[in-house]
Amino acid sequence: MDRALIRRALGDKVQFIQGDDACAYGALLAGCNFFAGYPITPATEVAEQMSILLPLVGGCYIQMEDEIASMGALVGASWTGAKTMTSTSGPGFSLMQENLGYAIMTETPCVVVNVQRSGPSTGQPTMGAYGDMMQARWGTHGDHEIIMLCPASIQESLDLTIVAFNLSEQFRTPVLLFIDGELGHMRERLVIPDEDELELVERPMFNGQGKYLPFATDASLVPTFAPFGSGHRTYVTGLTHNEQGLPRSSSAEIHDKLVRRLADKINNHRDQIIRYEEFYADDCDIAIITYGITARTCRDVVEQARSKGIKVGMLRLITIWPFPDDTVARWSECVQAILVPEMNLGQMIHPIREAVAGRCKVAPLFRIGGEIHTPVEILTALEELQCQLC
Amino acid sequence: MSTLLKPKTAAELRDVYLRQEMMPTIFCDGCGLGNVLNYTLWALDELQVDLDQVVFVSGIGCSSRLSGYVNADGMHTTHGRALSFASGIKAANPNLKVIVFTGDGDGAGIGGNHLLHTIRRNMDMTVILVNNYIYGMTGGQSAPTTPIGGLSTTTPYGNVEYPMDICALALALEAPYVARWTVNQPYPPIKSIAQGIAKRGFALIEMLVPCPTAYGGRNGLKGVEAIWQWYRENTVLLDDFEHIMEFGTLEEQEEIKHKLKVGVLRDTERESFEERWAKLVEQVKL
Amino acid sequence: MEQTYNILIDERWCKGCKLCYIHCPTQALRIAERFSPRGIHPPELALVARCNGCRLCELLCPDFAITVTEEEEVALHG
Repeated sequence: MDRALIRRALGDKVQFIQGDDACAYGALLAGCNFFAGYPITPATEVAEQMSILLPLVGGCYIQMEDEIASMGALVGASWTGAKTMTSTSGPGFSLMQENLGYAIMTETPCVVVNVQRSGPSTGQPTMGAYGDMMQARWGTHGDHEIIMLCPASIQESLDLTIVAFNLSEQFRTPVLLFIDGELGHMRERLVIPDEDELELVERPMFNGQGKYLPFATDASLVPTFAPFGSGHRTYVTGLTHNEQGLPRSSSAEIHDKLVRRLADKINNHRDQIIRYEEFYADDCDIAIITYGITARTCRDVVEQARSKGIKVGMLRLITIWPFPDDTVARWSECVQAILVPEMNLGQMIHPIREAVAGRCKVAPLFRIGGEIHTPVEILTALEELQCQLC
Repeated sequence: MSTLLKPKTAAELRDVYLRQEMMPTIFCDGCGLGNVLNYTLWALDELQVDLDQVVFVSGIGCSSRLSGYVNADGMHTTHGRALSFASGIKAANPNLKVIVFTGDGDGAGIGGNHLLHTIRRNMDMTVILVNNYIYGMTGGQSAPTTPIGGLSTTTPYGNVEYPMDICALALALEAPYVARWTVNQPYPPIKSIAQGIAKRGFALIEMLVPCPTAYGGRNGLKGVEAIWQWYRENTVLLDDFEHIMEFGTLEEQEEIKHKLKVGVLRDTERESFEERWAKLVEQVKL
Repeated sequence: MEQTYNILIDERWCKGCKLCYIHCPTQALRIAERFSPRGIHPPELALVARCNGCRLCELLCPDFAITVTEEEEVALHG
């Protein structure tokens, strides 16, 4: 796509916009030229923004009949070589699970934005929450790894959407970008990065040498890509398949090799995928481990608490999956307690506890109902934790 | 010494169009799915389509295995969702020809909503929907097309639900090309599939296919011959139907009244999604 | 001199469904007594004089296993 057109479509360099729009902007900057979606609060504005932007730059926007179809269309379009994205919220994300698994199995790059709201079921459509963290990890059936990113600001919603596309292309796997209703609808200053600040990654393409085996890999464990219509006559199936792509669903050996490779191509590259932010890592007794919009309140509280003499540090998870368990383990060796504020009834606290492995106390601070944690609430929890440690 | 009949023989056809390593097919004796594949390949040959520019998409079920036998780009997707994937392919690259193989359960049951909306959008693709009245791959459960009273493993006392007329649905949604055929005679479906592939916009070709294993045996049509015969006896060409209804005797009319009409049910022109989208982009592109 | 035909069966793919035999308009085919390597009784051309080369068996074969061939008249003249 014409980069100059993209810049023109996005308009002013500095804007005051909401998180949903920032995701759409990020997608366009990343080279997204295909969007399929279905309206759902609080993610609708992503689709609306894409429906405005894509025709301006010659891309394709298609509103599907449901989220199942959106996810299917994404995979189909990606196999023609398109960079694809969809957006949804909890109920829609539930519907996407089967085809998300298909995208994992067929190594199809695509980006799924989930602007989370409170569940279960229809729950609180207009209220933010982080209730889909585990669904993201294990929502689709079968053994698999997934990549998921959680921004904490409007700027980061744009920046990480670009990263999501890059990781998706590099590892040929779906990448999830999770924000929430608060972040999605909140407006902040956004600076659109200049062209020379952008780093864009494209999927590894078949170099035309020798016979094309669509699912054969080198040491990267990521197969090279040849789009539909390029004459290689690729067969893509969700069944267990060999390197040629042909179904071999009764072979234990082929299944084992394939599914382990799909996991390893992500696990072996954790250092390239995992992102986090640390505050006072070397100088704290208590750590807050958090993510998403909750991290913003926590960041503020860290300073307040330290001014009151509580030595608090903070680890903000940016990559949620694969889970940075080494990093959490390192923190658990240096602190006496970890506070885990979450906008759910306890989801990321499970892998945190697993990584901590009893080395320090792990204290939950869960809040549901659609409102974000208040600074006072977190500060009080820190003070209580401090008392317990004394 | 012998020479091969011209223009092409089955032996030549299979060399050009089939993935040899996938053959023979997994289909049972007397199943008509192989015929659907056969007729589709003859149709492609008739049109001299460049196979490099065709993508075969399918869902899950016996019929959806067809995509794997053709030596072209193919996508064997999830159950009922073939049309969603196909829509993505076609919308993202309108230069590709998209042919979908689906079944009555896959396309009209679990995928019914996608069928409805893909027709409504008039996506430029050819959908060969194979109707065998039953879920064959899972061993013979009732489908949205199973006739009233039909026996299956999940309607052991007879089906109480009304079956669905898939072509009627497509006609109601203004699909520009709608046809229904049996596999008993090769030439009409070959010609019709070729018309469907050449048609811009959505073409639905419903192929009535015998399933001796999961349907026939349970429903008084044991063996290959009986179930193939049933299709001959219980279908009537649309042209013949109309002729008899106008000029036939009352007895003749009575005899064909309940038969399934086969033939080209609609062949008209309608702008496709891709054409309309391209026009829109042309208008608004910066 | 009459044109004659033969049918070639690909025994790797023929499943022995008998559709060709059932549908042959001139009833020129029969089912062989012998077993093919796949363990089925393949069809064969029983009555060469009856076969008019219509190719219905070839077009109807769900397994792409039949090819109808023209026997060259040259050979017949010797």
